[in-house]
Amino acid sequence: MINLVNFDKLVETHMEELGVSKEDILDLFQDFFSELSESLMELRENIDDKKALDPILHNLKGILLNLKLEEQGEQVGHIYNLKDLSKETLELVIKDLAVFGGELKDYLDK
Amino acid sequence: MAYSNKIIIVEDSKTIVKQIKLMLTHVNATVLNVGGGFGLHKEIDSYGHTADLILLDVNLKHESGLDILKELREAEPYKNIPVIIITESRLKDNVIQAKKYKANSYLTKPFTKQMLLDKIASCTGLDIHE
Repeated sequence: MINLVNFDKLVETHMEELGVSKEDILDLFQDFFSELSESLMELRENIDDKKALDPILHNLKGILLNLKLEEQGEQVGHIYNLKDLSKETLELVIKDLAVFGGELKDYLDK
Repeated sequence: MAYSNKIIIVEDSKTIVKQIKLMLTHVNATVLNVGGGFGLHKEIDSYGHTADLILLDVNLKHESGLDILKELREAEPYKNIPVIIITESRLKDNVIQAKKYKANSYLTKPFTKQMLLDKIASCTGLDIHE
């Protein structure tokens, strides 16, 4: 399961570190949501092509890590490091990430 | 008019690009983004064949940042432009390759604003104070 996140706290942490407004950080997370949605679509389209999945998951991991979503990033990283990555496992990960994306969307729409 | 340092980010994740731009918000620099090697050459050439710094992601979706770095180092007008590569901590091979192709430094994800500013200052000497 992709871990739940306290988005309020996360946004505050980024605001403090970068010295920018809440709007700037929400805008950053809006971009992240849109990139996450695109990645999920690409993952679904390439679910049978393991070679194509690797750069998508890799990119997603890098973004998650840099947004201080380290646990989620490591969870995604763990998936593409699996030698016997099955379609079922991947479907579960996609589902998890979609739930995570839904939570982020709910937060951004508040 | 005061000189503005030109920093080019070679990165195809719009989230990471925006985050880096926010990290450099208060810095005296014009920060541009390109998605790959072709755009990079075009951007550098439009600025008199140079730039003050290139932040280069190694794991681009459609090409390797290391190939871009190698090409830069082999081409006369670009070979002395400072390059900081961006990679993931676990990908040690990338760091080894980047050193071979004379990257000035590297940043591993996750990185913070302070880490980025320190790297820029130490490997370019740019006046980037806020």
